[in-house]
Amino acid sequence: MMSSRVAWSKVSIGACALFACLSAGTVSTSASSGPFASLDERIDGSQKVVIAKARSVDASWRENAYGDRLIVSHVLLDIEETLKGPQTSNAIWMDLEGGTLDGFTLRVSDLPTVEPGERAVFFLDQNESGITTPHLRGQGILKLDDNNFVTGSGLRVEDIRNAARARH
Amino acid sequence: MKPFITSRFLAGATCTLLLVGALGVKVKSYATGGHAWATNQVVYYVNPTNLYVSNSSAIWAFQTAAAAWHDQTGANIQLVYGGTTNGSSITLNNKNEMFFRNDSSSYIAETYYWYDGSGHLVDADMVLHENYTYFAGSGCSNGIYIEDVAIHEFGHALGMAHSGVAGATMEPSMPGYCDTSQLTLEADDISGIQSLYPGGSTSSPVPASPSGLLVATNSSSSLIVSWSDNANNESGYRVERSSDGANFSALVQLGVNARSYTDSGLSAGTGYYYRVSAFNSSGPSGYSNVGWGQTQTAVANTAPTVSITSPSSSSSYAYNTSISFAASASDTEDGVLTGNLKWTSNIDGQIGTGGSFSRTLSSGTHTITASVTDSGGLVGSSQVVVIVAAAPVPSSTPTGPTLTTRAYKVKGSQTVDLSWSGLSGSSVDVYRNGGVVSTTANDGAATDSINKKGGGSYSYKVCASGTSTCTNTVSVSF
Repeated sequence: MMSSRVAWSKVSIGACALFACLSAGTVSTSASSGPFASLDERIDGSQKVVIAKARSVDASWRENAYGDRLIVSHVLLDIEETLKGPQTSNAIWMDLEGGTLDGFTLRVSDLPTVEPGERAVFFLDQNESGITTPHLRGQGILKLDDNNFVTGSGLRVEDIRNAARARH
Repeated sequence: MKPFITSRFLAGATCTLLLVGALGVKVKSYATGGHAWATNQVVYYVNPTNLYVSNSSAIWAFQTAAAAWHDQTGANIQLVYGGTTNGSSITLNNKNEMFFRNDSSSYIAETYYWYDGSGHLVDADMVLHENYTYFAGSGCSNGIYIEDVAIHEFGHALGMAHSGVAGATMEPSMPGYCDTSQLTLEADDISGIQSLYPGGSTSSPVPASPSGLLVATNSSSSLIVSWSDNANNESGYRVERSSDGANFSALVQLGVNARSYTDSGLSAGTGYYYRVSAFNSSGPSGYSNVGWGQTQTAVANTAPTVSITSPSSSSSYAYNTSISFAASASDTEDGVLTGNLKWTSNIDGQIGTGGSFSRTLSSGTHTITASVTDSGGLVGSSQVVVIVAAAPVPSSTPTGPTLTTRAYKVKGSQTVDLSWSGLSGSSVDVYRNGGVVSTTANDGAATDSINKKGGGSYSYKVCASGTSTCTNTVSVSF
């Protein structure tokens, strides 16, 4: 068994910036144990990667196979650039658990919220029903600031773009 | 080793840390969503069904995790165990439910929490994915302690978001498999929960120790532990069990004012030691006295016996005869079970219950069974054969037009009243001894006045006029 000080992302996250976490070999080591997917793993693992801005967010009640009755946000993304996957349209719908409806708000501990106007790099998967969701739940959304950095980090959109080009 | 991806490890969670920095909130400190419960006692329920640990162990793990948020912080909030639930879905039902889910999720756990328009939390459900191996209390190997995950998720349920402080329980990552460090809240976690629920105090003295612990035999698999509640400031009680009276293990955590606990799932004919302590935010009380009890020795169950006294076997009855049924039943372990008897016929199905009753049976050869089931699930029965004769064949009734007659004399003259039905047409022909004696309206009745006195016999029939559609023939005599 690997040393827990190396194997678990808790240490890695605390020790490096997000960019380093997403790209450094130590994170790959962590990811091999599963705690944290590297940028490469997110690019490889997702079906589609886009830079997009949320145009609208509409919440609705949904019931799933487990009997969960959830508020799910239906987010319309205006695609600025497709980094991976077919470039079939300029917009795409993404479903995200959580949202506000009928006076109540649902939040999920491992999912961010997305508001209209927010830009992000979205790593996306589409299920058999054609519903698109973030790859690896919260790991599939890297929000961007006005300077094209992943919010609060030193990771640039250009870095992600280059990584995607290098792999696909 | 299974992949160890959890909501607590997610980049999204990491982004939360980085996002709060961008928003101007102090980086690397606790975060809240700004939402808290309007009450300082939040009741939660546990569905303990899972693949890995006993139900009591799972409940203990959740209780241990929940208690930490009050006991270790002094925050003005308590998570109160409300009991078990069958709930296993995430719904806004104002019932905070914690449950396991056997799915393929690669995440350990998530908390779904709801708040209303005023910003107050109103519901929180926690799901632990069973793609990971869970343990409770001790013995972990390449798995996760339920309490170690649950304390983090309870933090979400109370309104805490992920923290950027390394080592904090609300940090979105865990140190590794079998970690136990999360159970100790860090200063960052304590600051966070106190900011949401200020006004608590840790100055309360530890509660008084319980006393007078007794262990009573309940069955071959359970014991009842009871004690005196001597405290007025306890948050609950913890029960511990031992097989040797020296090495005790945590068994269950109970709520305020608990005074007894039924320990089930035990081995038959085996002795167990128990001790109890109270606890509150200042710590545990001293232990009660140690009590000992032994479960009942398992006894092999025997099937009950049934004896039918009526009807006697192979007895025969005429159709539609009321038959008396009577039997008795007894069981070595359960005593008299006559009142529980169930009677069935292979032809008529269930025909009655209890020790005696009467009823008719349909025609045929019945195998009558009287049966009873004892408390151990064994069935005793007895059978008799009863023969019920066939129902009498009903006399044939004439079909088609019918005729009835009444013969009498008027001043000595022979007179016959005829009444008929079933003929169509507006008129009928009345035949006497084969010849038409009159044609009359088809109004169902006519009188034949025979201009004759004394004796004689005649045959009558009535036919629709001009047709061969006739009633039956009726003979009359004077």
